[in-house]
Amino acid sequence: MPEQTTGQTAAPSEQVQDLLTFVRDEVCLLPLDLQLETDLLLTGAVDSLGVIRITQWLEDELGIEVDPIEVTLENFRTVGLIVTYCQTKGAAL
Amino acid sequence: MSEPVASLASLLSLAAERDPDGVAILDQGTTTSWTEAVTQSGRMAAALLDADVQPGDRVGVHYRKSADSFLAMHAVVQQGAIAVPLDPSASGSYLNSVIEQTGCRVVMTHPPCLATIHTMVQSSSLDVVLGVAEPTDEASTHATFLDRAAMDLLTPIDPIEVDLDWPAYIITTSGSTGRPKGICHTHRSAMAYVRFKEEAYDFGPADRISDIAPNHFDISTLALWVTPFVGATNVIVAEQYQMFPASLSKLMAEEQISVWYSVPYLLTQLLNRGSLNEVDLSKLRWILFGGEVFPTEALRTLMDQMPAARFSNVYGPAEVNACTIHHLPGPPEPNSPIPIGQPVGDTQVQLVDDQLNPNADKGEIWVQSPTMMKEYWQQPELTSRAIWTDQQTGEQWYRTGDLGWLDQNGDLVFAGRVDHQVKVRGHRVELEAIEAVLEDADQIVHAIATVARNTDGSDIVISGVSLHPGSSLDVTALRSHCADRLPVYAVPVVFYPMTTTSDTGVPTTGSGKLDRRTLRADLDRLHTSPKISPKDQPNA
Repeated sequence: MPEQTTGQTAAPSEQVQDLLTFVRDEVCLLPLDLQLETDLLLTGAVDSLGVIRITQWLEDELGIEVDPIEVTLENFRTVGLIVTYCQTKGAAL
Repeated sequence: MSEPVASLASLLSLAAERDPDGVAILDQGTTTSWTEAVTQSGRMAAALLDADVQPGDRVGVHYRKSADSFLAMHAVVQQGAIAVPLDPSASGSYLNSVIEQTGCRVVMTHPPCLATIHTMVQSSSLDVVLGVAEPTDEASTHATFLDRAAMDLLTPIDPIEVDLDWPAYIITTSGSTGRPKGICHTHRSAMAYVRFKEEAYDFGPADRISDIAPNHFDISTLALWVTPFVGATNVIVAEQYQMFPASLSKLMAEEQISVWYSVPYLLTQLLNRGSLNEVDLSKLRWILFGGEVFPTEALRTLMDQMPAARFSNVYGPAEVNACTIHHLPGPPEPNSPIPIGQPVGDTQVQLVDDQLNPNADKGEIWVQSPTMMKEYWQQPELTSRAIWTDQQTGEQWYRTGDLGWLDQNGDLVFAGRVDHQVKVRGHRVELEAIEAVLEDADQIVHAIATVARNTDGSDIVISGVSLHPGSSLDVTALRSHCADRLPVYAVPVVFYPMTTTSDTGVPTTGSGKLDRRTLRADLDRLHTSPKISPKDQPNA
């Protein structure tokens, strides 16, 4: 499998940090040292409900509209990929 | 009763005899033929034999959905051993309680489960781990490891001759005390289920049947046992697809799944977020659902969107596997419940009222069926409470704890529970078990748990907790405490602080006990009230 890039090199912005905190503290089912590149799916830390809660958070906190067809494995596998996805939707992160 | 001629041990080899090159497993584009399935399960069985696994020994089967999760179950039963599927999402501590309860010495697994396996071998009686290499960066353990590459070098062995009355697999659920309860099926009861399914549906070699539920969830028995029996293809649907309905619908179209079996939750997610109008699901001809009630409106909409597919509601606790089916003649009437239907095969169902009178209009659903489990593993008292034996005739009836009534068509309709068991996305959850686990945590005095419906139609466990004076609510610690002791779906998602009984009028019963029923209803109202959030709510 190709290496997945997160598109993040600088220190995470405040909003990215908020997203990480939200996912770690309110979504993850198991205690996890969550990083931008942590695979949320292989670890079993996030379930389908968690994905819904993440999309709700993105809509509420970043003001973007998340189209269900874009909520895919490719866009949501890591927090870093979620950030990249939000940037394509025009969110300034 | 029709006598099954084959056991679970011979399912793969019989399929391979009929159609050696037919596709047994399709896993994200990769195929395994029946001949290859026999070889690979034969190698896994050889590894079990090398580990001195004897008939009757329990073997943990710990996989995420994959070709190996299917093959390993077959390898275990081919050796006359008893498969104990382990929840791949559960914590190592919880799984160790399952290992302990069932007495597993050997576990079969694969690399995606490595982290949990490491936790398990540190503190359990496991002494052989098959499917992953020994960890090099961890403290050494007494366990022996054999990775998958080494297993592939073994010479495949044939299934042994098994007695149909031997136990074949144990499905565990958390009991009301939190101690796992092992539902033990024999080759005979499992094969009776396979026969029923063959009778009820016209599945055949051209079908591609979804294998989506984890093996510890009894919905998986269709894919595990019925698929090889009818020579259909088992289509692996990895867990991550379940989180992404838009990816899932694409996979269903690409892999041309023709038979789907899941909990309603997944189907409503497909309906709401699966972009169904973007994919071609014309091959999907039969949708089976079960494990929980399908909200009528959602089912109507789904059926409207898939006019070519048949829909069937399947009912049956894991103790009796599936025992009734309702084939929907068309989209259901608004606001009417979906019946659970008529008994299948030799199954008999009766409604028993609380005075134990049979033939009640409404009552507890009792089931008599050759698909009935043998027992709760090594819990004879639990078994004798659940299975009622007629002293005169010796007839045995499983008391489901579900309530039902018959509609004007003679179809059975589900009407709730006699106890506090609830369903969360199809999984059984005992509220008392969650409360007992919470109350075991250091900072907690009392705890209440209930299930609440989210706005998206999914169910989650929520809890109200009262703390010892001076303690503060540490949600992360509390969640971790629960995850060590409960299956993941039973871990509360939201915690509401409650005041303690000593300083307020928290409802109590006449005997001074906490009035859990009232508190659970309060908690549910609190959660569904849009104005109040867990953070700013001092009292439950």
